[in-house]
Amino acid sequence: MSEIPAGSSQNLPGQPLSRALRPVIVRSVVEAQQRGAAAVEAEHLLLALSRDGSTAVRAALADAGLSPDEVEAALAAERTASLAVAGVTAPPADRLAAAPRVTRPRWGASAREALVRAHRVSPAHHRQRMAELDLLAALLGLELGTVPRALALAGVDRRALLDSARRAA
Amino acid sequence: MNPTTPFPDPVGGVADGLAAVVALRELADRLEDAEVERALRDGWSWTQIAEALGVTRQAVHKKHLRRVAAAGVELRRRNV
Repeated sequence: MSEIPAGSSQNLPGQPLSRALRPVIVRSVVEAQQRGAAAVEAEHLLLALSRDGSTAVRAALADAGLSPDEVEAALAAERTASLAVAGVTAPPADRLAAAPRVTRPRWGASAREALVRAHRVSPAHHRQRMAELDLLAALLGLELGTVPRALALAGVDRRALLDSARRAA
Repeated sequence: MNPTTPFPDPVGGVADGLAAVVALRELADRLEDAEVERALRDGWSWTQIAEALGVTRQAVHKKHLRRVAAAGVELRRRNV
């Protein structure tokens, strides 16, 4: 797999919030690339927070049943359920094994929306953990799409999770 | 959406149908990556793969060459 090209976090919305979030942003691009996704979406930001977020954010996520492995499982369950609506079952994982894409994925609509929302509530002087909390709040506040579906199917109480993350920060 | 309209539930009904579209697109993309790679390993040429996919050789080349080359997939000279 190739290195992320320099400047991969330069063209995303929500500047200058992204500066404090750089490790999480970079991680989200890697998550999308590793999954062969053409775009970084909100679910990749959630995966990134669960892996590379601050200790407090990771702990709050884990307490709510969203450790990195559990986020992966919730997203996979959402995809399985959604495919089933169309009467489709995904082939076995080995049938889908492919080399990761080396081109940098674009910023998808759901990730853009989450970053813009996080930026809106995040004054520039916030410290890193606050910027992460802003992003978590934005992700948990998305009303439609993959992330809210995955969280609902996994039985995650979004409000309780956000309250607990804010207390821990 | 009208701002006064409450957001529908993300699960169930119409939301499920739209999510199926998203999931199918993602699955099709992943399957294409895997099957193109498999075809190349089996010695298929880019031209043959493109014809089987119903796209131009240039399109399939542009989409997959760097990825499979980086992964070290053995490409026969005539394939490239």
